[in-house]
Amino acid sequence: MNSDVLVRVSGLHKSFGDSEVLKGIDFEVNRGEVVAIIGPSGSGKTTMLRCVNLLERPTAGRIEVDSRVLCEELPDGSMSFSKKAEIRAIREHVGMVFQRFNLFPHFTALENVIEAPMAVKGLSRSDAEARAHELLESVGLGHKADSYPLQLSGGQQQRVAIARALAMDPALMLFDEVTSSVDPELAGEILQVMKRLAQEGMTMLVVTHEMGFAAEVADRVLFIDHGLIVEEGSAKQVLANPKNARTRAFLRAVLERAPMAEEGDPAPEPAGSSAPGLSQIVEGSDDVEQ
Amino acid sequence: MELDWSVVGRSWDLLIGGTWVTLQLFVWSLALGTVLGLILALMRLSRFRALRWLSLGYIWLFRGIPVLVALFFAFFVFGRQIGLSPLQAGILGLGTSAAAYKAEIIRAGIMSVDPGQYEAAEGLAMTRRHYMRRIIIPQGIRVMVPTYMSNTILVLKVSSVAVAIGIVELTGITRQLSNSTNRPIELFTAAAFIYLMLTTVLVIVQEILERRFSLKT
Ligand SMILES: Nc1ncnc2c1ncn2[C@@H]1O[C@H](COP(=O)(O)OP(=O)(O)OP(=O)(O)O)[C@@H](O)[C@H]1O
Ligand SMILES: [Mg+2]
Repeated sequence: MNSDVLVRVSGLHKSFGDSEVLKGIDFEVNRGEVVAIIGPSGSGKTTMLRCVNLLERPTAGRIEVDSRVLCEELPDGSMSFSKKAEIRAIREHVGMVFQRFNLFPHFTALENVIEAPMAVKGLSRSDAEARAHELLESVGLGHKADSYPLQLSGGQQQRVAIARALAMDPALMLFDEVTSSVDPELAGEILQVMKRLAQEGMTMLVVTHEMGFAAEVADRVLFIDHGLIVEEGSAKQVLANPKNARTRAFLRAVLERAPMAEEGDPAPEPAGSSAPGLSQIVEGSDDVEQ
Repeated sequence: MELDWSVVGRSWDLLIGGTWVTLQLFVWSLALGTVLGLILALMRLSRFRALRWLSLGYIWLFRGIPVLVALFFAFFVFGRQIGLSPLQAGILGLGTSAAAYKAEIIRAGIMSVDPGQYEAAEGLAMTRRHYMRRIIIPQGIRVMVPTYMSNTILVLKVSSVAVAIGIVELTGITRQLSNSTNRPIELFTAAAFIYLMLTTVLVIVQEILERRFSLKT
């Protein structure tokens, strides 16, 4: 049960109809590790993340979370998925935070946080509420417990969503571009919460476009392009010293907030002349600290 | 032609008696239609093809035949063979017809809920049964209320076809009274007034439901 590896993904493939979105992904996440996933739009980051708690069903490959197998290929090549109850048992320990919050709009912040602990873990209302108040407090929203999602800013909604996921006491947290649909000046308050979580030792898999956050918080960075992990390494190495031409092109595009170079012109520059500003980002992030 | 409104006063007790029968027909057929409609809607959204087809077939059939025909079926087939009273047969005929529409209204409401809500609930390890009840259906209701209530007003008014199987509800008693007193204009005006009062109550209920289920912003 207590191996150091919390997530083990191998040979992960996913197709939607005829289009193959994931083309053989392998990676592991150790307990307490923060792994950032970066890559161009449409490269398969969201799909990959959603496979980890089986919101998306892989077409091939094996996924193991906390030593429990969610899916694997049988010798005859067909896929075998865990039973529904088993999948739910795993999801209890995997929190997910979405780009568009997905709070329950007819519930208050507090009700959003207590619903699953009560329904799934069988907590009493008073225990669930006590814990929820603690969590809302910890994300700086103690005073918003009785507000409805539409009464909150994007940054506040996302922090409620994080509290909601944490209320299940997850061993692993999945974040999918959780700052992308909030105003840039509100991203900081979300990143702050995530940074503290990381410091507390939470295992996190973070899809992000916030390179500053990746540089400062992530232990490792995976760069995905066209459904494959193209480059993988320590945050410092991948972000400041990318080996792969695609990674370099992507990072430069992100820094310049310019559209991504199209396939087929992989910026034939010598290594070392990587995008300007990268080293500053790795050295000290100004995105995160407010 | 002289109008003599005193006939309405003299017939008032009978009109109220008819109204009572109308209300019984309406309330029970609405209940049957809603419960059956919810089951049919969930069947249409089911993973199981057989359930989807069964539901589709039902909706196709009952939307496709006139309410009156369904009513005659209920009366002659179930009433005669199983021994339902005319009122029970009327409730069965009206309720089974209404269910086809309620099913479509409920399905549209459920389908309008953001897919992200399912994902959030699934991600929190809730069972489907739980999140349908607590997360999805309550949000669907908000969208359903206007169409559901429009259809409900229709169910109330259509209950008047029950006169065809001998149920003396509001329209039926009004016709009998107008035949015997030869005062159709006064009596049907009174009946129209009563129907309008009943549908007004439904409009108010709709308003209350819309407020109750609106999202707090
Ligand atoms: N349910 C689906 N049905 C069909 N195609 C899909 C579906 N979900 C994703 N795709 C396709 O899979 C590809 C990868 O999508 P994905 O959302 O994983 O990319 P991403 O890396 O998260 O992109 P972004 O940075 O824009 O969020 C895209 O081409 C997308 O159109
Ligand atoms: Mg995405």
